[in-house]
Amino acid sequence: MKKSLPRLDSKFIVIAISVLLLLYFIVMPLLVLIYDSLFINGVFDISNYKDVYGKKVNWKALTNTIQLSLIVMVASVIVTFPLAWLVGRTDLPGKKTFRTVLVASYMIPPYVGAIAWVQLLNPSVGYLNEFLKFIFGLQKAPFDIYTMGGLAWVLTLFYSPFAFITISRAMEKMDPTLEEAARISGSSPLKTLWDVTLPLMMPSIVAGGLLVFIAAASCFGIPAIVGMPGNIEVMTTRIVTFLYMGDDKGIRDATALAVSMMVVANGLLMFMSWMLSHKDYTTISGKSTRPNMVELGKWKWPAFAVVAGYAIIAVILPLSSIVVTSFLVSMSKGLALDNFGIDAWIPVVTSSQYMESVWRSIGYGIVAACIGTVLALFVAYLSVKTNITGRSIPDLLVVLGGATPSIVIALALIVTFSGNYGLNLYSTMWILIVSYLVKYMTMSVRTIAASLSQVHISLEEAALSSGASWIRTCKDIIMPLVAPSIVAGWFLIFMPSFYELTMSNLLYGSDTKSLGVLLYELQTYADTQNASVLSVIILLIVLIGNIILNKVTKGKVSI
Amino acid sequence: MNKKLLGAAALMAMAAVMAAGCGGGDKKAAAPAADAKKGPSGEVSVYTSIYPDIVDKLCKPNVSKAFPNLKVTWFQNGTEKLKTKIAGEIKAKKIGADVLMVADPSYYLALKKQGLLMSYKSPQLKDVVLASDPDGTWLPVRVNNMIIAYNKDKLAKEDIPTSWEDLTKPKYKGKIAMPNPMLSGTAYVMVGAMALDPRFGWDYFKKLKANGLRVEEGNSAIQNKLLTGEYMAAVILEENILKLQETKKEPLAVCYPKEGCIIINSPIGIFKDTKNPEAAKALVDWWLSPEGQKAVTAGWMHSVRGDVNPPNGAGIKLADLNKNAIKIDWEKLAFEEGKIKEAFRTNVME
Repeated sequence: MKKSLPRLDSKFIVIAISVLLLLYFIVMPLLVLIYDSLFINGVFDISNYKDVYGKKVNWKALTNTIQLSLIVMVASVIVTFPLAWLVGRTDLPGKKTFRTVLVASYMIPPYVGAIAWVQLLNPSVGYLNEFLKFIFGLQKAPFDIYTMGGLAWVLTLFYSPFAFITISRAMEKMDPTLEEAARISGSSPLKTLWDVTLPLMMPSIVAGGLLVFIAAASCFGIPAIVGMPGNIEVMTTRIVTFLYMGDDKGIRDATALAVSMMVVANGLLMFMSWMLSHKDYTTISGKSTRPNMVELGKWKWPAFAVVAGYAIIAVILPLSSIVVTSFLVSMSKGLALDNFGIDAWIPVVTSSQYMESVWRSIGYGIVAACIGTVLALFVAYLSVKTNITGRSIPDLLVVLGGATPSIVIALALIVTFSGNYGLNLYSTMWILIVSYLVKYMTMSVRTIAASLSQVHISLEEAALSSGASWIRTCKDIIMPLVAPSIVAGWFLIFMPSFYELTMSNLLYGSDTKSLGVLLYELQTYADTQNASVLSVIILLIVLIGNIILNKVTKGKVSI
Repeated sequence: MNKKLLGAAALMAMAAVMAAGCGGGDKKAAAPAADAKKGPSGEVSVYTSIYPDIVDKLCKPNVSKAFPNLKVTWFQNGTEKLKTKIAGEIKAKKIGADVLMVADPSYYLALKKQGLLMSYKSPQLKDVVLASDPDGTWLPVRVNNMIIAYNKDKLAKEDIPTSWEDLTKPKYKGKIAMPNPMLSGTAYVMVGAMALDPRFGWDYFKKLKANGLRVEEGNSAIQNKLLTGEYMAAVILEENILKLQETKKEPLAVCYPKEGCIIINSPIGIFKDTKNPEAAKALVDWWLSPEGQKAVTAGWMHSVRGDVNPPNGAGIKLADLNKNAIKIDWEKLAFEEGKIKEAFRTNVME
């Protein structure tokens, strides 16, 4: 035991630093905020809680949020599990293209996507509604986007990629021997899927589902655009309403709501992890090869049709709506040939100010994603691969950050990092990066942890007992095995940071205007069509990045 | 990994330095030409809710021409968002702005009550026709005008609205909208003004709700949905419509309601904590001068001066607007904000 002490040291130093960083940047601001919600000038006072929960609307918002997030979570898992299986584990034709297309909605900023869906499904002149009315000779529009159902629909489409990425990553890394055993014993492919694959995938499914739950619950853009015209209030819109009162009381009421939201989200998370902690899910052993592919046989083309249909509805349709909008000359004239042109493109492409924001946000995203992935790896490792007391605490801290509504994080960071508690990051790029890390690291940790939990400890022990240091073991054994999830984890931080809006909007300074802020400005003040143009540019950048990644890694890694 | 990180950080730092360098270069090039007339120097920061394209195309170039030695940083955002930002800054005791130009005048009353604003009675005030704070903590600088807008191509002549009351008629059912007063400062003023006006009151909003009023996130959502025909008529700022009308030739038009418009004399004010009061005052003077006011009207808003023409496309002059405007109780709007917003929510959004 003594011999292994130096190794333990490097492990502990690295982990201790990670934990300290988490404490300083996640826990402290939130504690400051909780303290602020409970005390006025040092005197205990919870009149804000009483005010807030004395109103029916806030209870309604709370139940709406929980209800919506649960629906979106369940729907996302039900939709993405079969998709992930078909794309990851079968000989589905064109599955690489499908993978890219299916995660593409993750690349569209949610508020832009929401606007696309409003264009398609609004009850008075929605394109899709008009089309369906025409085809089936209906009197009334068949769909109304401004309802709970419409809200759940849009949220599911935009946040299910979280589940898809998590589940499909784990699925591709799974030990196939158990499935093979089931097949050899005479089980049909479908029965194998149900009896073997599904239970094995449980941690990833839950992890993915939770990501979706959190994202749906703390989303502001989609409820603002889709819910508001239908008078549907959720927690985030209530919090923003209180914040925008613009006085101290408003902020205190907002914090009271935010703190309760944190409690609900984190209670749920703890319950989930407690449920999962009873089972052993080690599924990647040292001996396995890449999982084999299931042959779909006669089901090949029907499956293709289903996946393609979903891709068209979920991705192609809203994307086309954005692309078409960017090429319209006048929004008033609709789809006529003489109404197409590049009028909206010229000011965007020729303006240095627009492109500056694009590059700036790419930079912020890269920095946030690199720092976040390293930290996430350590946190995930600590949580699933060690048995130190309190090993899951850092994981919880990260989750705490992720489950906190963006707007509250932003507020907490402003109050904490304006110099009153050490660092002064106000109006610098670092406050933006810290906010992205606090908010988005949890997705990265979930993904990496889910994947790490499937790497059997025997591999690591073998390396350690052959004399490798812990750092080396990490680098040579663990990292390569979970590499795809690391890359996925990197992108899970990079992408939302790249176009982040809610926090950036409060945290940006005059020299740090990010892409999300610019896009939102265009969307809300200036010109929706310019916003569509910018969205198309973002999408092109992400797609090209993906193609390069795919080529460089010879198809092993893509998002 | 660490090396990569450092590399990334270094790259970022370089990018930042380069960006800063470029900015500085421009300034230096511009400076010598106007060196003769010494203006205020140093730095001054402005928070404003003037639309970003107007800030970039009009405010920035005009102000840097007028004050070549002054480095002005502009921070643009919606009124309510700026209020939130400033609330955070007040909490942290670090107000980042020297000069404040948001839409909602009642906010200045709240700030004044907290003792955060500086008194400055600009000499330009003699030509300003709208009322200003007798203590000089806020001065009107531009006029935002809440009106009803419609799409000429999508409405029959008899369907064109002429009054606020029209919006309660059944022919508009489900096809009317207004921006959310919880999120938009100008919409809040409109709600406060009409709810406190005995001719309308909360009853008017209840009728709107019964007529299927949609509450939208902001003015832009509304302008787009007027364009696509989703809404027949909607409450919105005049400047949004004038801009689309004049620059993009969109078929949107303004109805100045019979009962009067909601004239919002959006102010300019200086924070007491400013480190550069001379520059802040000079900036206020410039904004109130004919030159500054031309930037205001070029941004499709009305001028507060009597001697500057209304924005292009506006169908009415400030004096006429003002005669018939709905009276607004700014004190009530300032100190009963929570109450008014809550009443709107329960009457319209539940």
